[in-house]
Amino acid sequence: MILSNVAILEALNKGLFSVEPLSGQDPSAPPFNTSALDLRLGPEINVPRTNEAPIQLDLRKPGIAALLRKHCDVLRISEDQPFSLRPHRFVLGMTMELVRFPLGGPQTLSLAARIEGKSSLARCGLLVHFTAPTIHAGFSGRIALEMINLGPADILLTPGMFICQLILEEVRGAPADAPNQFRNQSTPTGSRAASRRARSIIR
Amino acid sequence: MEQQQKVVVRTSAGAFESERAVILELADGREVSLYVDKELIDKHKEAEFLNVTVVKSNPREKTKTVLLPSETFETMSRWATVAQDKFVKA
Repeated sequence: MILSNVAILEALNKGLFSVEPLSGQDPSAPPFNTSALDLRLGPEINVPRTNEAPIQLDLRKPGIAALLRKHCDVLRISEDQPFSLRPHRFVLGMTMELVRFPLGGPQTLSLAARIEGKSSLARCGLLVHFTAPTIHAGFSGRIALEMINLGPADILLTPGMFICQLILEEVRGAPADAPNQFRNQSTPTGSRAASRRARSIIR
Repeated sequence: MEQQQKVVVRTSAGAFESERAVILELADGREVSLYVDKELIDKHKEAEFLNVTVVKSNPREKTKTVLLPSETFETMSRWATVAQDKFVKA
């Protein structure tokens, strides 16, 4: 079952999940949509290098995470210095918000989510994820965005822009079968800093 | 059994400033890697620890099964079995 904007706010207030910083508290205004919560682009873009000898990824060998890091550049973007995503270019971004989805126990609800693109950005040709939209129960962190520009024009990526939406869903049943093992998770608290303009909150 | 525990890892720069690339040794000796948010890493002197959720303790094998914060590249899974001597209490 997908949560409505009102149910999302209730879930936040109950500590069933958290978003920090949350850019607004009014369920009838951004970042809320009727059945989603919009998230913003963080201030870094990870750009895989294309100007060096191609590498081959063998996922059977250890150290893939460090290898990928070795062959990319991490750029800091700002309102004055956005990143221009050229057609057919692949980069990684990350949400500004840190999200936490605590695991519930047999008596406690767990939430999971899916990350989806925004229709406005899709019209411009921007994919913000592909093949891996699921935010599992138990996840904690900022959400990585796999971005590709499939449109004909360059697209400027600026920190704080609403880049994706989070669709919240209830997880039916406890995520693991051992009783009580996931109880007493630390309860997250969401930031209450409210702002109606996403770009006014740049950390 | 404490469900939140720390397991010893090695880390290096992540894909973003807010995260670290982590190498974890599995009970069978294989090493796997993943990216995690920096806040899930603790340092004590020279050692680094990743906060994980312990799902099952396997005393006979002297291992624990854990839920990692994200999938590893090498196993494409969040479940991992780690030798119990790699843990410290959270």
